Amino acid sequence: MEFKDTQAIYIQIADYINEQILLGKWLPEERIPSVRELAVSLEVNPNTVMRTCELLQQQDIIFNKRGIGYFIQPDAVKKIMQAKKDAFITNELPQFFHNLYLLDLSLDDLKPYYDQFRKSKLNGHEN
Amino acid sequence: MINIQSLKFSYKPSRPLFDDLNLQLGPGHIYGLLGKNGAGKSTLLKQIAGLLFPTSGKVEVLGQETRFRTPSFLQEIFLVPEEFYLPKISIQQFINTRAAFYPKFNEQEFDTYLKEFDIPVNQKLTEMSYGQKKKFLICFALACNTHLLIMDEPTNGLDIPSKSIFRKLIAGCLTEDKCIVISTHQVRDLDNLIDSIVIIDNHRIIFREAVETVTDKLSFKVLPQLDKSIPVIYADSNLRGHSVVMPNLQHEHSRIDMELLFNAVLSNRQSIQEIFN
Amino acid sequence: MQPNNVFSLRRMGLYLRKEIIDQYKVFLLGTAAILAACCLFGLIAVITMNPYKTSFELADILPLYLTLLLAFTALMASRSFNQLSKPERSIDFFLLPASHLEKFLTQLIISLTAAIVVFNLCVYIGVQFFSYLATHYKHAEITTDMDRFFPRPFTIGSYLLMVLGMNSLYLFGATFFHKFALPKIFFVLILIQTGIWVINLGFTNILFVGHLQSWNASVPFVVAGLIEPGASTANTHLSTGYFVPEWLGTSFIFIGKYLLIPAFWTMAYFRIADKEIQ
Repeated sequence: MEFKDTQAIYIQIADYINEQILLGKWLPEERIPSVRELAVSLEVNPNTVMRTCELLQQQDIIFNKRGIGYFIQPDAVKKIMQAKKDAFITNELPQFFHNLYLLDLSLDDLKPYYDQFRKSKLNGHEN
Repeated sequence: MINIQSLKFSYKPSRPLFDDLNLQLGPGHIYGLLGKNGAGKSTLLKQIAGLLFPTSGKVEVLGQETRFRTPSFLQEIFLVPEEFYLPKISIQQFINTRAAFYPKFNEQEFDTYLKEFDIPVNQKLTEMSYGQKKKFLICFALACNTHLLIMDEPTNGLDIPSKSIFRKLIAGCLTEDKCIVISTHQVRDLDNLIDSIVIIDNHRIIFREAVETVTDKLSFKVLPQLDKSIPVIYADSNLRGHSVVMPNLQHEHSRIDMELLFNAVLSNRQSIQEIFN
Repeated sequence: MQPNNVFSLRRMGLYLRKEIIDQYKVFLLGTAAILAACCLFGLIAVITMNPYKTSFELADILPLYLTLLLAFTALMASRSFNQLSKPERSIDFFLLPASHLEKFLTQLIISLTAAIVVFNLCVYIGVQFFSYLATHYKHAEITTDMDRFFPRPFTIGSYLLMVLGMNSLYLFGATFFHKFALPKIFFVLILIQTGIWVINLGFTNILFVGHLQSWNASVPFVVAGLIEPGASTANTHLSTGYFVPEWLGTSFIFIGKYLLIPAFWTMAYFRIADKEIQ
């Protein structure tokens, strides 16, 4: 895994774990790889992975079964989605709106583009 | 784990090297010992390993003064020096003669490590290149499972894939009772492994913080331009813009840039000290 | 479990094994070289043998044997700490988990075994080789007179003592010099002996001014050669060697035999235990 320069590693690892869950590679109620396994495969300090797990536990995405390891919460996907939505609305949307405003576009103007995009995504999925 | 108290030391009485140096390092961490050439890194490592004796003060590892080099201390420390010696024997002979001195040596682990580094077991140590010898010594050091593992420039002489394997092995071997101290100039090779930073300059410990604390208090980012209103502690201008270290006022979670931090601590020690105290 | 930090027989056994295996090539080559030299010497002795002299007294080689034995003892003792000649080897030496005493005793055992067992075995084989060749091809007659091997008051014990003494001296010296130790220690010993001799000259010339047979007529610690005052005539001297008193002489011998050797070994041990790596 390539880390970006900009964000703290433990957060990037959290994103990585979330992505695995969203992609369905790691399933709800199943055990995720151990701290050590993650540290080895990502080549990072186990204490950093530990911090990631604490963060994800706080966010109710994973939970700790003592002596066994970390497991994915049943509703993890929903929570991750919600968190991602929140992040999108607070971080990226203002910039997006700013551009719309500069270019004098209304949301209605965008609707056909978005519909087309969704259509192509759905078709792509079927194929 | 390591307890250095008011260490005084000098090679010559007229030129004191360490004067009242204090340092405590605990288990469960990977410490990065950073410093310029001649800052006193290897002298400090030699003190910790009991190869040099304090003029006054004491250096203890696991409660034992290192200068006595007792077997009970020696079997809990492994030092991988930059320049090291290997006898002219085979790997198997090396293991047969030396592993018994380390009670927690694990031959299975050793074999796995060798395999990871792609070192053939039946090779003679003399037939190996410097990089291979170094990898072999690292494998042995890790397999000894000593409480304290000290490595001086471990990634020197390792090729790019080996560096990645090295990081995997170190990440995998850290346990709560182990303390790993890595002295290095190549921080970029290891910056995701190191969780605590010790900076030594002019024979003094001028900085010793956990990476977590550093990123809580400082923010590392690249700015398109510098501005008087930005409280920059240290800036390094390059093609991408200005890499800066600044106080973490907005509680951002930036990624530590150890090289930048090192330069910031050396060039603007006062501001750094104010922030951390 | 706390291991014994001073001495453990098991650990020393492991250390001895490690040292031997680490350097087995050097040891094997060295042994082979000595053996070859002994046999070669026997061969040359047979080839250059005087055809008219057919009886040999083995004890004739005693002076040569003794010289080589002591030289070899010095060589082996002087290389005991050659690991300390390079910093990276010193680190390896000091950080291997065995006590200083075990490391020191291992070197002592190796150097003494080489001098006493290996050397004598090689000489023995060389002599047997020589005897075989000489009796079979030159029809020579070899006699072995054991009494001449140990001329009074020498016994096997006195030779052993010489070996131990030589070993202790050069082992102690080896804690000062790690590289090219043998010539360096040899040179320093010559210097020290010369120093003692010069100081002794000074003292005897001051103490016995006008009475010395000649300015250098003395041996340190043992004897001063004097002319009895008033007893000399133009042609005859009545000279007396002033030996140290008997009690002092026996003390010297006692010290030399039983104190100096352990003292040098002990000092060597402490010098190793206190050694730092720059």
